[in-house]
Amino acid sequence: MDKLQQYRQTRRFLAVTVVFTLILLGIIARLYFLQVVKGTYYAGVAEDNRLRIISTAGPRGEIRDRNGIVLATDVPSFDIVVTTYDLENADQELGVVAQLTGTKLQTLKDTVKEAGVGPFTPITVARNVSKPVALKLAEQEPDLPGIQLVMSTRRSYPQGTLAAHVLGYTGEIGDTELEKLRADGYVMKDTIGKEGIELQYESLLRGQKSQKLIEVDAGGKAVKTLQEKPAAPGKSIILTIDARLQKMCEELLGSNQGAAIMMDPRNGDLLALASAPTFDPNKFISGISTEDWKTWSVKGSLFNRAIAGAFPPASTFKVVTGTAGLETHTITDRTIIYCGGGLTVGGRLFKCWIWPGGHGNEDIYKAYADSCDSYFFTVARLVGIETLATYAHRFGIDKPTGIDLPGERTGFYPTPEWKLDKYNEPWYEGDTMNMGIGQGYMLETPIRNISIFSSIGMNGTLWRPHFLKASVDPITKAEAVTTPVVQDTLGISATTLATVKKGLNLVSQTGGVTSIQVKGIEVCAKTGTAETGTLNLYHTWLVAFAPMDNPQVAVLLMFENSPYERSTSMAPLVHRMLQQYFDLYGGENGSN
Amino acid sequence: MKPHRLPLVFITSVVLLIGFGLGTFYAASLAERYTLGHFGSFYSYFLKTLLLLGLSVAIAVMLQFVNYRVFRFLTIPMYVIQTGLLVAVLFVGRGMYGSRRWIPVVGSFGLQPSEIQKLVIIIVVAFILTLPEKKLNTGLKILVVVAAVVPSVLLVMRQPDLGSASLLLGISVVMLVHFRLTGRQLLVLGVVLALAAGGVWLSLRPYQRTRIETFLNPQADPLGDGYNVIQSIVATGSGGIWGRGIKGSTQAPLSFVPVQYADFVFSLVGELFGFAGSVVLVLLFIMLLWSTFLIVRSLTDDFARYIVMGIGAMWFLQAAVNMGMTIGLSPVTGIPLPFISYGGSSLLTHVAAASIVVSVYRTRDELRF
Repeated sequence: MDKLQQYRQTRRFLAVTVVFTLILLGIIARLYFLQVVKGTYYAGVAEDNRLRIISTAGPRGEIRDRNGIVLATDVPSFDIVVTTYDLENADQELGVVAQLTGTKLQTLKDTVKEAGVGPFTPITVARNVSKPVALKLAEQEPDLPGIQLVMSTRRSYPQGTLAAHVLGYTGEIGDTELEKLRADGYVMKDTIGKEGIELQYESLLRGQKSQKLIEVDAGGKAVKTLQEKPAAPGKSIILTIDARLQKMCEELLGSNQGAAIMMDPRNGDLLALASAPTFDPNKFISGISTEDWKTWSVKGSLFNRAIAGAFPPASTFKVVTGTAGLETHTITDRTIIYCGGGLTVGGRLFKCWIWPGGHGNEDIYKAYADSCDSYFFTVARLVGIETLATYAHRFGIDKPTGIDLPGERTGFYPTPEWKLDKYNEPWYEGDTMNMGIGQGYMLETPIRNISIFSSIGMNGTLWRPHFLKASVDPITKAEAVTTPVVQDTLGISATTLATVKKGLNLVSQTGGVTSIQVKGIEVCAKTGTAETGTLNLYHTWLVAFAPMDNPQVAVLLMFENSPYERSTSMAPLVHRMLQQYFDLYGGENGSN
Repeated sequence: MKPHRLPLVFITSVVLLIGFGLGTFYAASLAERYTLGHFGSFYSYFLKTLLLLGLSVAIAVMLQFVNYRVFRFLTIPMYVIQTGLLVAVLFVGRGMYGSRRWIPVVGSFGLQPSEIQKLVIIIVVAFILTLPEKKLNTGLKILVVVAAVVPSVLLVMRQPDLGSASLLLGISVVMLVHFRLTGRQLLVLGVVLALAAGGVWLSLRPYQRTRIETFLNPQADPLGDGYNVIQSIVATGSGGIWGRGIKGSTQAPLSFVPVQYADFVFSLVGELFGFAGSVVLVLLFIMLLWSTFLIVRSLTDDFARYIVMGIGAMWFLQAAVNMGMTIGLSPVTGIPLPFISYGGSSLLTHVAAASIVVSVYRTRDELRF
């Protein structure tokens, strides 16, 4: 570089240095403002470090049914927070809170102690205090430095017990949950989904906390807000549930133990899922009385029988046995088997339910219509345990359906190896025959049973049963719609399934089941009555789908430990489920 | 100013800055003892800094025996070794919050390659810009500079250390500004930088984006960086005109302000020594800056000029960004305050840089005067 250029470069660097200097002088100007102009103010703030961060939960997203009926929402409520540094007389002040909220002083002290935060961080000691308590506290608040009443929200289930097992409930975060979720920003006393949809979709529903940096006076009372990040509500959830169908299902179950499910076999949408007895999720929010808890424990009210109860499928399993027989060409739809009221194998008489009578000559259609045990004993015996187990597995009895609800259990089917292992006994032919009519060691969940019938109706396709129809962004209102997922394909020939369907259709035209019929629609159905080991107490099933050729709805009703007579009185109840569905949605797809 | 007085002014400002830093840590440890009843972490930082200062001075003295012209021939090996260290730190490095910034050496001491990389990049850029025009024309030089700097920037960003990465970029830009650039070349440079900025934004981690967003809109995250800045402002402001002194300071000993020994050290100065002390510190940096300018003016060798300009740019950028962040004028980046913030690699780098400036001045080519 020549001298002239170096001269120019030096000039440029001079300019840059001047700019740099001006910037540094700007810093001095800012320091002048902070330290000289506002120095006294900041010295005051620093004295007690009068900055507090108050954090309140953002509202949870709403849960609505498919028609917009609100099933769960947040309503305003009050929390009480304590900042230990600001307390003047901890025992006296906490004593007031204890008295107002009806808690023990020691409990409050423990909460404060276990929070494990610094003296300047407010600790929530009570959530959802009632309005009268809040008002009384508000009156006394000026005399209670270090104690503040904070606006918050709490969960409410406006429909009461409706769909309680689906919705679940929320509660205070537990220690083990907190351990796992601390990284996601959960802290003590936070509300979190505990069961059901509330738990399943916690990450969608959860609101974002508000964070408010406030300046307090020497008494710990807010003087002004320095910064605020408003709370953001969580996403709303639209369920596939139809509140009207759900309500009807719950009414049908009444005071009995059992489960009722309605599902759209074309996409897995669950229109209703009920388990009885039920509970009121609101009681989890306000605090459960010991009395309620006792009742619920004794009756098993919190237990979701529809997805977590496993029962012998009884005659409903005959769809699997029949499919195994047809698909392996062991039988055809023209195979005739004679029912003389039972079958003697190995010197033991295996009775048909009609014993001492008999069904006479039966083909598979008539066998389904009569639910003839002799017929399916014979089919099971002919295909053998290996094949029967293969088909039980193919229909998914030992697999979860993948429903989007926590706590799903799988069913169970026995194998010779299992029996040897468990009871140290060999597998008898009689075991195979019992399995053929859904008795013995076999167990199925209601959600699996309705799934089996759905997949038969859909010619082998099982759509994953689900509740989440869409989630809605609270700000943009944009809907994220769930795409239905094919959970399984049976891989069974159309001829076989057509035969089974025809048999199931005949069921709806026979005997006590005829009252299931819906005008102008061909219904496929199967009953089941399982022994419980207790005299005259049975698990009774009725599973159906309709219309036969292109099903729009599958329904299931199951009573646990109910008298025998009920098995014959279920058809009118299931008729109501089907009828109301077609009344509401019948025009949708043109019924046949 | 007479030429022989120049290094004296320069060395004085460096010595005063280092002394200011040591004095601040010592005062903070006394405040800590006063409030807590015993010496705390500031005292250990004070002792460690003394130890590291010994090492730094030894290296600075050694550098006086090295003619800066030798760096020309060492440029490529230095660049290769340093880049190797930047890669290595990504695998064996340690750091806070999951970052990988320093390579452990002895005990709690470690080597922070991104600090040393600043000096290496200054020498590399000076080397490229002063290659004979016959070997490399002006346009190509800029491209080669970009090609040399960008990999280091990306490697440092991977650690992730956004502050140091943007510092490398900033130093290079200031050096390029002093290169003969036509309007068209400046335009090309602008476009490249804009593209780089876009790429950087896309590759940022969420917390890094938050930091920039927090700066642009402090309301966004009152609990995170925004909270730190407010605490830092409160501490600084509470110092008033003369400072709260050893007996009055509370924010430092009670550790309200995060990383006050490093990133937020300026708020420590503000609380302890007030407006008076803070202004003295800023004036010391202005003194350092101007003596650096005068040294550049007296140099005739282009390579030397670029090196000293680069070093001056590094000090200014770090000082301005760090102090600005403490008082809410610039984003929270974690760039240390030269000569003041606690940190071995940092102190070593800046003392070595000062030593190079002195060495350049001592061995300058006086034939053309």
